[in-house]
Amino acid sequence: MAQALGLQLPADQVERIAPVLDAMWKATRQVLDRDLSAIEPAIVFRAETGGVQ
Amino acid sequence: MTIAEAAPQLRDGRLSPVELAQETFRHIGRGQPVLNAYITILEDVALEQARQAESEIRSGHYRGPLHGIPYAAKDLFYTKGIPTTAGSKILRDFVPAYDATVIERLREAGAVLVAKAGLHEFAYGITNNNPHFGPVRNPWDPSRIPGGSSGGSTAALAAGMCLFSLGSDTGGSVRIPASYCGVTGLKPTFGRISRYGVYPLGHTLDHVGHFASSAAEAALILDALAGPDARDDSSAPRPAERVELPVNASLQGVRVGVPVNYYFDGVEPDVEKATRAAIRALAELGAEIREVRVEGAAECTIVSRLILLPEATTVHREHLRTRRADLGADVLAMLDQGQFVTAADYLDAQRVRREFIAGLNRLFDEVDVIVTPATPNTAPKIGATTVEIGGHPEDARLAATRFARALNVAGVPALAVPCGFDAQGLPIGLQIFGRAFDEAGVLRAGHAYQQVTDWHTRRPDVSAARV
Repeated sequence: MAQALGLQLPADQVERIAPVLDAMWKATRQVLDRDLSAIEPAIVFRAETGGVQ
Repeated sequence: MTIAEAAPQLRDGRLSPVELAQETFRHIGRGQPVLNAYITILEDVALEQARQAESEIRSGHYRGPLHGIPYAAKDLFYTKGIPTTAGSKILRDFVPAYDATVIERLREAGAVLVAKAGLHEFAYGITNNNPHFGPVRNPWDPSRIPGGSSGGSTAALAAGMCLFSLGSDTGGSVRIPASYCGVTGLKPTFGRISRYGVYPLGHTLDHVGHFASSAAEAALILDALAGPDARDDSSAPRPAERVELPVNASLQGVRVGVPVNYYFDGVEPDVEKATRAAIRALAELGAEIREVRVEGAAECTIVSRLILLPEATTVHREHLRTRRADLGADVLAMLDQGQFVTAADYLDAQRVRREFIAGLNRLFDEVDVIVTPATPNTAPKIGATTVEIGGHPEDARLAATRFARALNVAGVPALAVPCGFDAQGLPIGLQIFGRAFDEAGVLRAGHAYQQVTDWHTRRPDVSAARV
């Protein structure tokens, strides 16, 4: 995946963080794998300020 | 000495700000070699500020209860002309050209800045085991971490090296070190205190907070710090509201929620025992105790990492490109992890965030505050990457932040107060959180609790400690 994203990470760093990311993805998929599309994200663009709040 | 003890004496001229600063530096002289709580000690600057405070008070210009009070600021608050390292090698020589808003406001209140306090590198971690400045140590047991990332601020306060201190909280960095060091810490509502001139970590999660010897003192400091700031887009456009705490300790009419889910799972027995005892104390003060379900707490805590990881990575993307070798291994690993979180997952996490906040708002129709352990454990040993709670090994960082992170996501005010000690003599923290902008509610509950308990008055004997 690091290659696909064009990240130039040292191999030992990929080795170090891969299990952490795997565990995180496993946990977060249980929360995110449902239809969330009806919920507005908690950051909203506001034209009057030009900001995302 | 506490603010409550010092302020009336300073006001009446029975105590000189210079004497108080000198006494504080004697504590620093004893505590610093053991605790390494400070990165930069500002004796000359502080004594000059103290002399100015003395002159003002003598001439009848008393600014209020923080006038002449020595304090420390976590070393990520910009201080004009004074190094601000953010605990990093990268910013070791950075000297800001301006002050953070909170530093300005404390100067206007007459407070005396004695030091810049140690922190986890870039505030990204909970141990304060800093590879560039050395570990900050816990004043109750120097072989243990003070918690973080604001651990220098709490270690110093507990050891009498200041009378209050500033911190920041992105995923528990006020409440965790308050819990591990046995001091009172307040993370106010997101937007309540300006973040202008504060080195960022997570733009939608960062809160400025502070530490004191009691909830009543935390309220005084909040009065000085809070209020809108045009220089900070996240600053709430609502006036500061002075928090008045009643003299009597009654909680009659206050509805206190006690979670039946999540917040007592995987908690050390001594921590649960102390927390339950604190809840009984609140009931004896007249509070109505109600069992509640905090829907989505576990889920929100899990996905909070999908928000913080990429936000922190975008803050440090240039450092990742050009200064990788100058970052500590743990911080570098998290910054690299942030490069793998997709924008879609980040936005879905922000949807879960809104869902959690909506549920919390409904819950605050039923109760006024909710109480939980601040942390599931007491302070781990320096260097421990895992902790064992109830026989289960767990990542030390994830364990410490378990009850804190969702409240950064929600942005609601949360107070940590000492509520006991474990069998090893280490402090235990109670967390009290409330609805957005109801700092008064959480401070009132904490203040009432501290009127009938003395945990917050206990202090470690640092002179007896050896590294």
